[in-house]
Amino acid sequence: MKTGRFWAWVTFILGAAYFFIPLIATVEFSMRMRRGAYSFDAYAIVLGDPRFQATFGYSVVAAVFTIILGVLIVVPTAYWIRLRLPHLRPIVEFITLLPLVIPAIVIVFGYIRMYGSNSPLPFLASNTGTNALLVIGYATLALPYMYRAVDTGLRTIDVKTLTEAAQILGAGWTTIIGKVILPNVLIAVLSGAFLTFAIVLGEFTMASLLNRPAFGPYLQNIGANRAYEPAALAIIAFVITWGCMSVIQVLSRFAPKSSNRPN
Amino acid sequence: MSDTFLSIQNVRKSFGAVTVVDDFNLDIERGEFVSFLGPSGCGKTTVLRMVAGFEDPTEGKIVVAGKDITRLKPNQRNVGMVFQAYALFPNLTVAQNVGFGLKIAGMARADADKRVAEMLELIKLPLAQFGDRYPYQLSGGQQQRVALARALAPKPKLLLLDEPLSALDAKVRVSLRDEIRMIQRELGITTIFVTHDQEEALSISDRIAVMYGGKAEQVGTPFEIYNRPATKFVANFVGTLNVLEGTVSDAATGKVRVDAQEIGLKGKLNGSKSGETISLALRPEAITLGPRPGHDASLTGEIHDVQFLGSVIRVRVGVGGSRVSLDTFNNPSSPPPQAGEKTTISFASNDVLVLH
Repeated sequence: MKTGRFWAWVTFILGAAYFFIPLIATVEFSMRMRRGAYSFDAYAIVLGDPRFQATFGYSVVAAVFTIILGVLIVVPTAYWIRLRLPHLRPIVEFITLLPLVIPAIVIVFGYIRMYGSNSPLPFLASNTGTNALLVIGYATLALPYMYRAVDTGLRTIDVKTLTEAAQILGAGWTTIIGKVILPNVLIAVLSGAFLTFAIVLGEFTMASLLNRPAFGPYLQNIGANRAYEPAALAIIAFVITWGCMSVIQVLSRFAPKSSNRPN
Repeated sequence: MSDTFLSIQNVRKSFGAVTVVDDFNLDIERGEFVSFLGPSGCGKTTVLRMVAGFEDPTEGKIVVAGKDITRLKPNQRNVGMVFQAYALFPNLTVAQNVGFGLKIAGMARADADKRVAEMLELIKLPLAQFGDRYPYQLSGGQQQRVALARALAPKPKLLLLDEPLSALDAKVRVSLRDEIRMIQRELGITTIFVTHDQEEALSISDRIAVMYGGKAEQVGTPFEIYNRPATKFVANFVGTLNVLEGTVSDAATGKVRVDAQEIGLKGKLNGSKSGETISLALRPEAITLGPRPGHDASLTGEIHDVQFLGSVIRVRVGVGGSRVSLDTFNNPSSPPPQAGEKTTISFASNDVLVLH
């Protein structure tokens, strides 16, 4: 028994070292900009860079639109699949997994070919159109995470009975989704939203090939030309991502307790 | 003079090639409490769901207060429903749950609040104490009472109860059952109650529709269903029944042979011919050990099994190849019968149900 616990600790320490040593090394390196002393100079330079602020702001706005689009597509779809079309679930799950198997570069080349200025839907002919296309692309990339988060949330409630209970009390579909289903899966939706936020913030391929001033290409550009700033940027991005994850954890404590099933 | 409020006419429901409800007809009077009783898969819940509007009948129509509601959506029917799984909205408080239907109906806030308080008073969960609680803070019985209040709050024309007591423990089930009946009587609301529990159906219904294979086998008062079952299925499904196989030895005089013993069942053998094999069914309470005034038929057998249950002693007597179960009251001054003893059981021939 004691031997088992010893090896469990060894495995845990090795795993933790594998993740934390590079992180600590990056933090340490990012603070060595000033000769002979640790400082936050690299962070100050990065945070003071107007391009950082512009690209970060652009990506945050793109993330917000991506989340709205994702919620509008995923919540009704996942709800309807659970309620009326459960036999289609494997197909929908397969479709939502496709962005994990098809590289972003393939998707973006497809977009460029399909929505070029000569196509019937010339998204790429204007800045607004290209921005919209980028958001659509991001929503596609985030689909596996958003769908799974919402579907897991729906699994914790008795969707069919709650829907019928609301219907018999006179509610229409908008009221049912807006006042009964969405509030009960809100935490799951927020989980999906924060995952989407993290993905959008670090995404490079789509933004770069669509020539958008996003945070991903900025990260790459700084990484290619500077020494200490990329390390500081990596840590900043890491903190933002972990911050999102922590918010998910905190919010999940406020999830409505599901008691619509008999004990 | 009948006052039909709900009329279910020639309703059939098929799912693909499978017919789950077939030619179902039932008229329910205003204020009546009718139970659909039957085993799993008999179609009772499907009929209820068609009345609610959750399923469309393949054929037939449903009329409420003279209006055909067959094709109306559930939210247009003004019907209240209580589900087995409570189905309270987890994100809403007790008061918000009860007021949900009122809000959707556009009732003024003050009126809605008053109605919510009334409803919570009716189910004995006062607003001040329970109004702000969430469903997860209530017991199963309390949740189901809130579900009942929520269903009744918008003053529906019809109340549908889909096995509302199944998920509760035995004690709560009995008390809530009585409470439901009391509230139903007080409000005079026409109610359909779906259950597979015969005791529940017998104890609270004005009438019971016993269902089997998608059809109503018999519709009648609990007294009629229990004492005058129309079919073998109803006789077997409702209550405990002892069944003895017999052969009609003389149809003209009503003589029937059971295990080489003859009993007279004059007037009970309608249509049976001499030599025909029939099943004789007897409720346990219709049989006594030994003779009893008014019991004109008797059979001898051997005691197989005696179970002492406190105030009651359950005795199983073997008569030929059949076992007859009967209950006698415990008498502290007389010891119970012993297994292996020869005994005589008696009954009134009028209490025998002849099943063909």
